[in-house]
Amino acid sequence: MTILKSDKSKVQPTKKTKKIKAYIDGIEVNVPEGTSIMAAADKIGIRIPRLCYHPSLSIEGACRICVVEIEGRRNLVASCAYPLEPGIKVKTISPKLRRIRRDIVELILDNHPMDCQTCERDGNCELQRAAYSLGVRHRHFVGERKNYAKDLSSFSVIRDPNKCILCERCVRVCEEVQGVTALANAHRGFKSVVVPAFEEKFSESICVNCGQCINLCPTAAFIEKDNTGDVWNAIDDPDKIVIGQMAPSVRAAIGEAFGMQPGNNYEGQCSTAMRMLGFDYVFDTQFGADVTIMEEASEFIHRLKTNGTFPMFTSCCPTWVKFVEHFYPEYLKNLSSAKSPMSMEGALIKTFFAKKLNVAPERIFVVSVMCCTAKKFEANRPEMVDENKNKYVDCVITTREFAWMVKSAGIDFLNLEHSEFDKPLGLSSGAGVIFGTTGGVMEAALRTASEFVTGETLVDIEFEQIRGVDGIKEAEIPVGSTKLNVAVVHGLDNAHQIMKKIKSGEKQYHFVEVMGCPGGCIGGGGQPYPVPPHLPLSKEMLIKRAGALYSLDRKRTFRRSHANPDVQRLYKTFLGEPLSEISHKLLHTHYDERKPSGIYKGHILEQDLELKDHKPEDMNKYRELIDAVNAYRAAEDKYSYLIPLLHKAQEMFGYLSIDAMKIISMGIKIPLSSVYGVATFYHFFTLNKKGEHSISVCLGTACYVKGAGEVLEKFKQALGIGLDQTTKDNKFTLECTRCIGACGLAPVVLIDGEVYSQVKPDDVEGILQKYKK
Amino acid sequence: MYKKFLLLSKHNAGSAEEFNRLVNYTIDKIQKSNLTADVSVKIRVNNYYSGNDIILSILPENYNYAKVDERIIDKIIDEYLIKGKEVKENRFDCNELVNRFYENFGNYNYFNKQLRLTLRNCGIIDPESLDDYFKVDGFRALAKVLTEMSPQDVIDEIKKSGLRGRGGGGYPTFQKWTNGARAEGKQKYIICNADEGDPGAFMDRSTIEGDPFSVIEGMAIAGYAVGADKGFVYIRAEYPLAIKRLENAIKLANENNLIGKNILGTDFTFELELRLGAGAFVCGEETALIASIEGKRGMPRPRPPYPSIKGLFGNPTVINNVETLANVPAIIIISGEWFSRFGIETSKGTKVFALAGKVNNTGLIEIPMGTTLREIIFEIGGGIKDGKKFKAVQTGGPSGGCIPEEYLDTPVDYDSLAKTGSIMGSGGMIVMDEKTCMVDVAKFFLDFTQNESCGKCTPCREGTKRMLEILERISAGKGEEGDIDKLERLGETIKLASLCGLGQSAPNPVLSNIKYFRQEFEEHIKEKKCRAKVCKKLLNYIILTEKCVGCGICKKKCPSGCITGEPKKPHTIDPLKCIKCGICFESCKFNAIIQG
Repeated sequence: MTILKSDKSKVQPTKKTKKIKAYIDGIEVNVPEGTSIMAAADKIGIRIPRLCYHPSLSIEGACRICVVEIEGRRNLVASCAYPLEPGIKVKTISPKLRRIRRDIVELILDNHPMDCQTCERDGNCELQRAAYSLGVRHRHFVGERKNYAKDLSSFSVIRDPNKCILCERCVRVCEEVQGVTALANAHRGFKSVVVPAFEEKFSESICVNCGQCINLCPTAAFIEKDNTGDVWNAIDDPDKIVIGQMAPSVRAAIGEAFGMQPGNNYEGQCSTAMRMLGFDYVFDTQFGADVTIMEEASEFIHRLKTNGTFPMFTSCCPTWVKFVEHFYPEYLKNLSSAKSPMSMEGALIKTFFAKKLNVAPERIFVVSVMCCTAKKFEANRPEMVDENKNKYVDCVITTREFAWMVKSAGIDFLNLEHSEFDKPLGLSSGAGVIFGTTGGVMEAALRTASEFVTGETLVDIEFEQIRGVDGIKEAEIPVGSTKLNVAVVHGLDNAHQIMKKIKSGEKQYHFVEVMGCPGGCIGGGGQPYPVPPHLPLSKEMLIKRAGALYSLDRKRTFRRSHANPDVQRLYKTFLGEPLSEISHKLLHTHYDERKPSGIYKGHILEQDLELKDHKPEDMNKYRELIDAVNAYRAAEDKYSYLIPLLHKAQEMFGYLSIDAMKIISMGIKIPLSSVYGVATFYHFFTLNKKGEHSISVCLGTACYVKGAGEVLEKFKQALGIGLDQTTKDNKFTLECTRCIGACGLAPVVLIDGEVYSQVKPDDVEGILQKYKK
Repeated sequence: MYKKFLLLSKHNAGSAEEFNRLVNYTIDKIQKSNLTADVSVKIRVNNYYSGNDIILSILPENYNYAKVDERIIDKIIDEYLIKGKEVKENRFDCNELVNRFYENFGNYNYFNKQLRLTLRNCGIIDPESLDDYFKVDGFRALAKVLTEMSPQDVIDEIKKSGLRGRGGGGYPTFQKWTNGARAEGKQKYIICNADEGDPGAFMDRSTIEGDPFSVIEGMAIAGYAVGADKGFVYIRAEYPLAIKRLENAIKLANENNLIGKNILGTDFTFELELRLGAGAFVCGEETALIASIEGKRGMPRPRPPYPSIKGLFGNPTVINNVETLANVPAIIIISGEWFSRFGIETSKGTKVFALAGKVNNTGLIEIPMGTTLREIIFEIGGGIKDGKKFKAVQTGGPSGGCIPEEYLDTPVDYDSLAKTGSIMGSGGMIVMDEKTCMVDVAKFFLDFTQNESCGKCTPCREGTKRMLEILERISAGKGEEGDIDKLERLGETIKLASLCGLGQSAPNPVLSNIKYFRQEFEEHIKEKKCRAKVCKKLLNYIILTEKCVGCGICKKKCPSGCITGEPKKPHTIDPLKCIKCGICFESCKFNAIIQG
């Protein structure tokens, strides 16, 4: 199993590993058949420039920067997509290629805001890098630029289509790796734009806030919501006691934000830097992780003893929790009720520690430094507040935001003295450390659960079976007399795969750990942009980041959560027992089903659609559409009926209503964002109600040279509307068509199917009069 | 039993009023002449001749008359039907159902140079009647391949014919079929590409409307040769009549076991399904078309893998154009060798064109490959309308280019047209006269491709937009020195670096116009002049004092108030205020205002 879903459309070596010989820039290469030109060139140290290519995603071949010449062929080919063929002679650099690549980058820049200096990605933007290295020094083709509003609605992710270069890496990661498909390309041509379904607010969409779109974006079209301002304000506020907590994987990756290679641990520098920034206390989310294990392991044993609901799912990952709320609400009871380490730590700071300080919790401002964008959402969940509706965590910043703060304060991060976290919520066990990588929560839970069950000390506490970056890992772990079937999953498409098996009964597990991001938190959506040659999702990088955590675990005096003396003290003095009443109040929660508009699961039921707003005659049509859609539910190639069904819906209603698209999406299980993308791609479909009469001016070549353009202008004037618009009285819709095959009668106009031939501008008023009655 | 049939045909977009009048007139006349028992009047709507003409045919003699009016009808009924005296006026000959291939169309110029292979049945059979199709050897070719030929035999026969893809690319059909036949895969597909999207082209639509069965039969034969048991016709949703006829044809063929399971009792199964496009020119590109049938946005993907190896739903898929498939049954029934006799060495058979623009005869024509452009325009097309001067002919639609007068003797075949900088394309052919502005035409086509760009690859999405902006600038009088160079540079980048055929050919209309009509571009840029007087913003309006009577109409109508003058005295136009709308020019009854 790989870290990713099956690499369907990738150019991959075929089964027979036949080797082929060819030449790249005169150098002989011998590679397995099916290797792309780009991959072959990489092997011999020739790095062909690229933007839309990503090794973990399907091949798009869209940016065209990686084009190369093949001797004897007229057309250039995209080296990312083109397999090396025996004997061919490839040129990866030539005056022609240099010019073309420069032109392409220039063309992208011409439709891109020129605000590099104030852009969040300044200095680590792939487009900027490409423009620099290809030598774009002049601009020739400046013209119209796209102009969209930024979507600031989400707690986690800002979407800025103006910076989008349409490489579709975000769309691909959201679909192929995360299985969410919140994003799709909509409209077409110059107006193409990556949006959630119906271009609704991101916060209302099916997005689970994982932030992988940010990681994969070569520019700043996706970026986290910047909360650093809130942190500065709190620090500057003398009344506020600013308390920081930091997630495990931040320390394993933050060095990369300062240009270091992955694999080193910066725990000590992080706590020093936080203090230098002005945090009053610096705690460790890993302490919260140890408490999480106490609660979660106890909950698990309780389920075992009481024959409770299985499999139990971890619930530390806010992306996964939202994913279950959207896609698998029937499994919400399977989620552990334990809050995430961050939320537990926050709750303990504002209760236990506030009491210790003898201050009102309102004076405390909790800042979480997280590898994660979804934690911003989690902190704002209505479940994560105290009885006065005050948030336990006031503000979440990502590893990247934290690094910006450190840089802006002029702190020489890499050379800082190490320091310890503050007590009593800062000491953590090795089990808490490994929470940051896939398999870590499971391993930590097993270390504790095993001892809780057997009462004996576990000798071998490293569970190799569930380590590593395979997408789905399974193991049978003996705990006392029972054998536990466990699974560890990361990347949400893998979660879909395992849910399918659990649902069908093919697999039965006791305990399943799911982390939304590939690699777990170390690959989180808030982590630093990787340092070249690493790329986001790169296995090597994830393994190195995980390695930093595992070696830290080995160095810890205590490697089991329940052995953490401060945790023991906390239970003794404050919480009592795991699952105690106070634990339940502060450290546990529950979740509810969500129905964002992008959902596409389940049976189509009328009441799900909230169709009551429609007129009775429309209701009947909707019922008819539901029947038509249901007819294809079981078809093997049901996806391919999308366009026929859209045709049907448009025929019935005259346009594609949002509800009609929802019915189709649910019925044939195509994500709503994709349905919207398809509906807006084709000219034939309209999302707006048309007028009583449709006027269509033919703009085929024959009609055009015979003056159809002037006729169209006259219609625009006479009706006071533009193309593809409807008059205010809903009487006329003006459209154009490209050739109806009546060139001998040019110019022609079609009104409700009736043909008017040899129309002159002067005829327009007269024609309209016929319909105005 | 009727002794004679009078068949009145009109183009389906022609004037219904005039047609109905003539039909009623004919019925009346037949009644008045007491011929009702002997003569049946039938009407037919056709598509292959798109002039405003009404055509009358007498069957079984198969006398055909063009430009029919009351006078001709009188003459035919009075002189021929009553007195038996042949009427030669306006008559053109074609041997309907006798000489199926129309090698001799008689002396009516429009048909004279034509050779109807693809359109052999169009306008002859009732496209909704399977019986009619049987009369012209319908489905005999399929029966022949299923009973007498191996799949390889079929491919060999197609190879002998030299048939090349009529969709524009000209890829040898046998090669495509061979690739499909050799590809590994349990499930294979045949797709008929009927998503004809070129502005000014309606060959496929007419073929399907006139002879849907040939296309189905061609697909089934292709399916047999390739080993595919499922076919899709991907047709434009904007073609309701073609869809209706195709649906009907599929239904009839299914009912008669000519497609479906175990065709004609053999092991061969071929199911056929119709899929509607939804208005995307790019879906003419194979991989985009496949994406569209799969229910996705019609975006092309890089090739290889080619569809014949990995196509629809990941299975081997052969995609042929309507015209290509319509030729297949004829090749099988007669022979590949016979087909290869038509046309020239590298391009065999015929090609259908939609001839339109500023020629006297417009409509669908079919000519043997190798016919020159001059023959098409001046003989078949009857020369330029209103005695104007020929300027250029555009072939290949938005992927092609404009060919100027000095290349009029270019034979129409894949390779010769490519050498001029244009392409054969799917069959649009628009004639332009001196009143056509070549900057404007370049703008028109680029506006089209820019609108139709799917937006996937950078050069096409961004590059065509910038080229269009430059052209808009030039035609608005804001062209700058260096704009032509920029167009050429962008054009080359887009051609070389785009992902699919749409982008790779999008700059052709601009580049070929610059190549042949550079002078016109330079005039627009440097002298701010449009010699064809099409680019409105470049026009100046002047009132000739000697002709102006001071009636004041122009002054009243001018929307910008730039005309001044006392009543009954010559008026003047303030060129700085003038918005160049041309209203004064149109409204002056004394020809006192000139455009320049």
